[in-house]
Amino acid sequence: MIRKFFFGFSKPKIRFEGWEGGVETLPLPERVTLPLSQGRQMPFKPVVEVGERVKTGQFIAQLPDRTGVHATVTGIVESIGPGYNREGEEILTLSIHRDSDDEMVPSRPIERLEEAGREELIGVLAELGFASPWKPEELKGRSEGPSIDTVVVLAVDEEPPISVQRRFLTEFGEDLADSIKGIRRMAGEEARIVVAVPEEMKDRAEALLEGVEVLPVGNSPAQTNRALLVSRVVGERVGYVCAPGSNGVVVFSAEDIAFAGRCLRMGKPRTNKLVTVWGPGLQRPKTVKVRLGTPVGHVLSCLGVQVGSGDRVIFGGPLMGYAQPDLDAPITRETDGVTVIPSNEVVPFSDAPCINCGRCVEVCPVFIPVNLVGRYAEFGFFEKAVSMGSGACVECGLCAYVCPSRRPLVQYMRFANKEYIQRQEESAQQEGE
Amino acid sequence: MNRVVLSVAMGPHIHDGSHVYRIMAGYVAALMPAAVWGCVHYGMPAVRTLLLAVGSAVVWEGLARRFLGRDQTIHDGSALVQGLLMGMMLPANTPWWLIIVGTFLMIFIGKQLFGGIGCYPLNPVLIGYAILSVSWPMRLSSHFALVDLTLKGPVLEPLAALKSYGPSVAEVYPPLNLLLGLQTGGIGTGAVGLLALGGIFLMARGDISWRVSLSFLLGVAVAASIFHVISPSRFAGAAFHILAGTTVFGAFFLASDYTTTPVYPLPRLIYGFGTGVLIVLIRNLGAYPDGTVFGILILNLFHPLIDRIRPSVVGGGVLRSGWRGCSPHQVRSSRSPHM
Repeated sequence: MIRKFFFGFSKPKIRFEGWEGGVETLPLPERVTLPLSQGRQMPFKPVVEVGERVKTGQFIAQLPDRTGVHATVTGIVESIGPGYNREGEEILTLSIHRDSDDEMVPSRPIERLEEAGREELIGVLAELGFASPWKPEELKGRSEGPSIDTVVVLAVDEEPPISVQRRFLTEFGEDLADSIKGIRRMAGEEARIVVAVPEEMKDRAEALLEGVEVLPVGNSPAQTNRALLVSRVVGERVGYVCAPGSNGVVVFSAEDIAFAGRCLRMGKPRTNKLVTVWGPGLQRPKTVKVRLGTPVGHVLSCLGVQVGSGDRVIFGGPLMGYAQPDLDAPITRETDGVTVIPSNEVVPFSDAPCINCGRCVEVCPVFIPVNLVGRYAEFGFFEKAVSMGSGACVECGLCAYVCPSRRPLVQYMRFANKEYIQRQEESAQQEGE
Repeated sequence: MNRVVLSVAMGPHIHDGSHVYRIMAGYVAALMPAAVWGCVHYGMPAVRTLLLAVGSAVVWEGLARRFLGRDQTIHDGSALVQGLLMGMMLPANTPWWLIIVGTFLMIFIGKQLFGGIGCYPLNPVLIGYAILSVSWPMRLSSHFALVDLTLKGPVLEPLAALKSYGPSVAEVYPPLNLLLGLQTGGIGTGAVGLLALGGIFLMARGDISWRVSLSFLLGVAVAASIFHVISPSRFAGAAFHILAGTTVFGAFFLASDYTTTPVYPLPRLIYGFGTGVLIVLIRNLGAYPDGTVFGILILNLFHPLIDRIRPSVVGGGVLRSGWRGCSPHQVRSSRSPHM
């Protein structure tokens, strides 16, 4: 089912098939689960209690600088406790059991949005749950970082069959154009705003957006890879520089900022997310609008996608997505796609030896000698593996996709990097003692 | 909802379906026309030799893996292909024990002692064949070995004739006859036209690198032409060198072996070209009539060295100190704090 996206002998090429077609809005789920923290970041502080009834759009958790999380359905707060994000890290989550149709908290649209000042924009965005990387003047002293000189907006999707971000150049193009004007006001006149768009939409994007650089991007996953794309924009590798924004570069997806602009106009917090679903039972990939926090099982059953035991339900695309452990996993702001791969189409990895065919080397977008690094990692020569460049891996998954020995090459890269760092730290500790 | 247990793994979750045995099946398919032609040309002795070579190679592979206490690898088809390649290089009426010794040397010493497929430094087919040809030169020299058979076409091996009588023998071997396979030699190495078709098939499938095979032929052509221009009376021209002997067989099926071939584009070109040049040097200046075996073996030795000519990793590939806080998958999902 996935293979038809690829043709050609050794270089996987990608074609978006049938991504056109409207966005359907799915019925509301019984329950939503909302993340209150992201990975290693500071968790939001819940401001509601278990058993309390919340309305759609109500504040449920807060950070000190006024931004927070909003309820996306109306119902009873069922639990506040540990959960998992899509990468499998433990985070704090809050779940709401829906008991009625939407009762909205009253919206507070900004009048005269065009005339609103920078400070006002930032403040209202934060209240609506969009923590912008720009801080209001009063908070400036607290978290001093380099000022933001480059804003990257990604209107390309990471891999087929996802077609979420590109829709913000077509159906929802107005929202994006609007929001980019707002970004310009917050970032200042001299900041660089780069919008990465699919090649075939270059003309459309140039007509739609004013005062930005439009960067056409091909459809190969090696080109749409996030880390590579950003490093292409800023001309240096930012992949391993930590927090976004810490080096003067911020990255947004087109969806996030388009929604921010729309919410600002309507004075309502964001409750929706576009997701492309692809799996057995669907004729073609389908993009739907769901509430944030919807369990993936609800999305799949609404669309009639069958899921059996042993199948993989993946957040993201088939090359780089994250397999989820159960059907309760919630759709979050990062989930652009849901891909279901039936168990009989899952190709298991093997520990067969590398035959040195060189296909991985041909497809690697960062020119890692994958054939050597894979073998070094396999036999425990982590230092060697890292010295050959395993640290540059962007985990695009193309090498393992084409490997005729079906070696788990991405896992080998991660393994080598992790072991190397652990050993470095251990030896540093020993020296310290 | 009934409980569904999902499987969790790291990406990629899909695969293009390629497999080592599919590559090997491609090799077998590409070799078949020439092998069948050899069987027709030389008769039942050729069939016997091929079957014995393939069968013994597979058995040796199985025994070797067992003896070394490793997982069985017969199913990847590499032993089958190597047995077939070895059989096709031998004369039709090679004695049975020689075949079995040859495949033993190939599989045990050439391949499994180093760890099997993917690990050997030199092409095992050539190791086996080289040891045989050095140890029993008369048995491996086709025109001596085939003395009992009646054959169409000249009985003398073209390259041996070239060595003994000079380039004037080229008249005895018109290019068309060589192309059609009317030359004495190994069972499957003579039918140059059919081998070339097989090679084109493999290149089109992407199973072998056109860079290696075509630059190999180019190397032979360039080197032979230079020799020919310098002294036409002593050295044969490019066409003869390409069409006679095992040149085409070597270009498409021996030099292209993955494990002993570089992986980067430029190194592949250098490797192929160098092999081609070396073969002509051995033929024209060395003691052996055909230099394919030793030419490829020598370049095999250099392949890790040639492969060092490669593009540098983006960003230097250095793991920066901040890595731990931010692995690539987080960079991928990095959106500004909570936007």
